[in-house]
Amino acid sequence: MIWTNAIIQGLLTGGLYALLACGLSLIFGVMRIVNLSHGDFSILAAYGVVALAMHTNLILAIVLVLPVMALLGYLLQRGVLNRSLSKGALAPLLITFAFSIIIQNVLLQVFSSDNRSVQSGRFASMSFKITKNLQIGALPLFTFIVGVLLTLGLHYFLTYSRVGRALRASSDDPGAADLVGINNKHIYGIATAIGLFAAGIGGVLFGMRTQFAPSFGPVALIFAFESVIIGGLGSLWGTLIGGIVLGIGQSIGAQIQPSYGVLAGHLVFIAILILRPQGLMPKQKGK
Amino acid sequence: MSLLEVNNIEAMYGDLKALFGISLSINPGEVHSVIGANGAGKSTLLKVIAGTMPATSGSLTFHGNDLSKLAPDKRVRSGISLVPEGRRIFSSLTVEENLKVGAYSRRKGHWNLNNIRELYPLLAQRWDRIGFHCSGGELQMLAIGRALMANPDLLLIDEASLGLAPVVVAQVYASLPQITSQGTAVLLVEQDMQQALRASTHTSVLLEGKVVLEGTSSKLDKEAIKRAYFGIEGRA
Repeated sequence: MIWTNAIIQGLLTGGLYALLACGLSLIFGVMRIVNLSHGDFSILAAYGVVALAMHTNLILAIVLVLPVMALLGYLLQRGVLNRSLSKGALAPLLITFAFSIIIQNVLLQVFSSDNRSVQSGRFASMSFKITKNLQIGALPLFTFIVGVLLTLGLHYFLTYSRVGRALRASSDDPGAADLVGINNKHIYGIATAIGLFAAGIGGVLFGMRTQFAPSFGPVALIFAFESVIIGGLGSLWGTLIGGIVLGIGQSIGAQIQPSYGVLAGHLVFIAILILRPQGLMPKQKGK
Repeated sequence: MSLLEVNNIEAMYGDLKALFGISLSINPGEVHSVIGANGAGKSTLLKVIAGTMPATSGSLTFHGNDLSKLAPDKRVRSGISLVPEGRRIFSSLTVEENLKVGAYSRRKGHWNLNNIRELYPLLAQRWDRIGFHCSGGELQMLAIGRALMANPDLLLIDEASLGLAPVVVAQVYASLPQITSQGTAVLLVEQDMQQALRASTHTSVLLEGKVVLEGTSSKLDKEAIKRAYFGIEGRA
């Protein structure tokens, strides 16, 4: 029973990792940019909600912050990252590294290094009793559902919408995308907007679950990265599965010995890298 | 007024000049072929018209408007579509999705998914296949279909016959009259001289970045074309 419990709790945590990771996966998939600041944007969104929630209610704060994250993503892509794309793979990587340092230091300046959390009141401690020994927290369950819905939503957007198809076309061959009238710079802006929107959702839910400080971005980034790699680069469903595998790995590790949780997650990641370096659900050939 | 006016265009690859003052004009609904040997500058000319390569001098006017400042995606919106060398089909997208992406610019006109299916029945049979798994002939038809989905006024086709079986080449060329009957002009780059002459109303022969011979396709002298094509002087 305790193992069933560990697996279910891990599964739910995996939803959070998937949320932190799916934007990373999308940005990499479309532009081959490794966004080293992805976790910091998540934390930035969490701080944004903390700051706004002091003046208004939580839901309104979230509804206000997420579009701002998307807009920020679009502007940073159009204004900064697009200019770096023609200068090799290193330039955008360094720029996102710079974003990471800037965000951490601005947050430190504004909010200090004290731990904060996104206060969601009773919701954070609510739980459903399934059996005598198995309880499911409302917040982890909600997070998991949001993770699945966001993955599903992105899947439908990429598969069936005009702009989603353009994103995939641009990812396949930007030069040919030009020739069918697609403005790659705009499409890249949209990809980053969606990426940071998703990072924001992940960050806010992360902040409801645990305390965070300005330096927590890289921690979120590691979990996001591991989810993407475990799942297979460039596959959104893979990223969801990757997050779940990582979550379950961590929670089984923690069941063996509470301090082993994070370590066990890393070990699962390394094991996948050795045994199946292409990930569990890699993008198919030509896909 | 002609649809496209190319006036004294020059273009460079780095320090290497590829086009030395090319001029030609195309009217709506006509097929203009550009023939020449490897390296004559045929593909470069198409790239300059499509906007993927800048002209270093000369002028391009389309519908009477200056094109030179327009990015390639804007040129598609103004009515120029290129079927590029190597087809450049989106390999992870299905045949249907490639065609839908072709309509990204939302230009109105005759061409839609149904009409492309009628134009190339072979594509209809491969509808859900991803680009990666299509044969050369399917890719070529798909590339033309994708370009047509933007309902261009001018269709640029680079080496339609390259690497294809003769039967497929015949199918591709057989579709040209249906394309021009919608008023679309076609600028065709081709290495196969006979094919180009048969399919076109006008022909320009390029040699080392210059137009060395030009005229109505049916009236050009075959011997003169051969000499121009290979750059053989004398004994005219």
